Amino acid sequence: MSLADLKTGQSRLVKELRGDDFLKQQLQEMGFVPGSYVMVLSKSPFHGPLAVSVRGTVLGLRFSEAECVQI
Amino acid sequence: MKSDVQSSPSDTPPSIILVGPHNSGKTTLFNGLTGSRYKTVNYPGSTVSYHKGKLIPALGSPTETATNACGSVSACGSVIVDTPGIQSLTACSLDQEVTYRFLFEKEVSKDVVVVVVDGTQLGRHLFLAEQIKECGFAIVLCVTMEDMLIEDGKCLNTEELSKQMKLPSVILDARKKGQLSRLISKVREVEKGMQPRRIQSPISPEEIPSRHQKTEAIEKQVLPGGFSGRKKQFHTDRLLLHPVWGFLIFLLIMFSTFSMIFWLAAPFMDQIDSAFGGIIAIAHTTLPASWMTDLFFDGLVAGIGSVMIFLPQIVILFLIMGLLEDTGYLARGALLVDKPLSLIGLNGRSFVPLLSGFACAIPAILASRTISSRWERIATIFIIPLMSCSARLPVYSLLLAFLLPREKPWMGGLALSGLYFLGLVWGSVFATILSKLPSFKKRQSVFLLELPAYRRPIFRVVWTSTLHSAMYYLKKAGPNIVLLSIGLWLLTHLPLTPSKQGQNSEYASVAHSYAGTLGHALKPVMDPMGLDWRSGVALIMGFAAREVFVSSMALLYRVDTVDSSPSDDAVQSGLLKRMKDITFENSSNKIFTVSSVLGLLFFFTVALQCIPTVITAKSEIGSWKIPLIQWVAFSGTAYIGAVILVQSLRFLGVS
Repeated sequence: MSLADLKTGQSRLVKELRGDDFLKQQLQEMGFVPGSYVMVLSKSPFHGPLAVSVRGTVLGLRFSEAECVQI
Repeated sequence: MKSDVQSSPSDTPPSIILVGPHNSGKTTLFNGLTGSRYKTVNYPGSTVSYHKGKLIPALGSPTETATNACGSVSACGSVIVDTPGIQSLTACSLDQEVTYRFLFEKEVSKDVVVVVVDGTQLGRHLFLAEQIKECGFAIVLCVTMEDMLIEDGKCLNTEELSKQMKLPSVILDARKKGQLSRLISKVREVEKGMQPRRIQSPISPEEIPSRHQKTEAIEKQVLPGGFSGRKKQFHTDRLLLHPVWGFLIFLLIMFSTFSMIFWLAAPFMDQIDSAFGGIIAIAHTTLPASWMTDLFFDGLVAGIGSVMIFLPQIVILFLIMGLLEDTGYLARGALLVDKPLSLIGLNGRSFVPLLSGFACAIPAILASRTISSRWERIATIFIIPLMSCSARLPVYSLLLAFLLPREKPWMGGLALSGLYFLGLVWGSVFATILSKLPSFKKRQSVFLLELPAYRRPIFRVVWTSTLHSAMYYLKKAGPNIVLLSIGLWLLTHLPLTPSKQGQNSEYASVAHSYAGTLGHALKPVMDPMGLDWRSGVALIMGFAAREVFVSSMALLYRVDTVDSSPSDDAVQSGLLKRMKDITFENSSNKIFTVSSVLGLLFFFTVALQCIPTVITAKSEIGSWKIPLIQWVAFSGTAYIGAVILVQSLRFLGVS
């Protein structure tokens, strides 16, 4: 299951990251590391970007990027 | 990725380099430290700039005993550098690369790096500080947004933070000038104990999770409970990013922004316009008539006027955008439009540059530096000129006034929105075509954006940066536009002909000038558009700045402006009357008809007539190729489209 599968308001712990190294590194630096607690604040229609609370910050990221975050 | 720099002792006092994420209060801090007196410097070999200023003397002394303000050599005149905001040490956008290169290529090993972090997002930002620290820089950790923590009932234990991070640290509200000395005193302490340093590459990706765990643990110790204000704002985000309400609110905010740009700026623009018109008129009546007077006032002064006239709109646009950015909304806007923009090969980060494009393409192109993917940045720069900038407004208003009845102003408003929409549609078409090209398809597109906490903006702070942006526009666009106006004046006045006294002299000289010759040569090109050589010359004049088209039309069609007032309205109504009657030379056919004016409107909406824009695009992209393709593609489709429009309308029987 990935972050993109969560509904608005749901939260989980990050298990691992998938995808290419460049994206993985950026996601990690932004706080998506195993054990981080993530909560979906909003989802845009038609697989648009999500707003996710992680490590005290709110981040906007694309649906495809959220799919790389396994929970 | 690596560059080890060995420091060498030197006589120059160490600089203070501010590094930190976007929205961390870094720039506010910089403005406070330099008293808002700084200059924008281009990084060597690149077009991206950073800000450089000097520490204000009042902050030279670390303590309140300001009597000895310039005690040491380094205390006075310390150079302060503000680098573009970074999210991490992985450089991905052009402006982030400047910060990266600044840290690892310049010899900053003898300087003090102030890492500015947001107290409301301490955990994540401490990670960045940790990353930078492990590279070996001399660091002072500056935690900002103290006010938000106090509001939240939290107290940061800076002593513990310094101990855990092994860094001298300080907390302050960057907007309060009185608190800045706290930071400077820490910087001085670090300067005193300066050792030669060895700078290393950032930690490897494998080590990132462990550093996050470390900084998270530190956050828990120094700020028990964490900043909870953020959680209280979650419902605001749920509303403003809501799939339905979020978009409606977004449209409402955009609509109000545009209305404000136009309505608030209009009186100022009229003032500037009549002031410059007045100066030129007075000069012509008082000074002896000579080509020197003409060149100076009609060329130079009018040129400066055409730069200044856009200043009100640009200032208001930057002001509103600054306020929206400081509240935190602009990042939400970027998130909302990322999906629609990604469909045409752009990015949510293209949103702010495109928005600026409605005031002026030049600052808009500069604003595209935050887009991380080079191809998405090029695509954004490519379509910016299709956003109807304010220079098109005088032309639109003249041509729409010709077409539409005066007593129904709402029709004008509707038609104007239609023209803006046409620009957007044309832009989407071009962006889509670009995104299908092989080199664009290969692009790596990432959209990862930090959404800052909502905050009440401080007007003074936004105003300062607005003025700086406006000055930057004047410096960047001003000389080009002024030079082009002088050049076009020369084109329309050379070769010098013996001046015939009387009303017709100016007209006669234009007809025989180089521009007139060119206009006559262009006749075969203008014919299909339903226009004559005089409108052709006016179109060429529009290449300096589009609104020059209106005054050139007045000049070329000999509009009597003798009715004393040089105001815009007088010129426009005189010109309108003239446009309704004027016929082709040696013929009784009218030049300006419904079809030819519609053709002109189409041309102005699409054509890239602004040479300063082409020059700016060249310097930002670094090659002539894209700007030239842009110029040919827009001006070409504008011409072909206008011809097809005029000819098919005439075929259908529209005059």
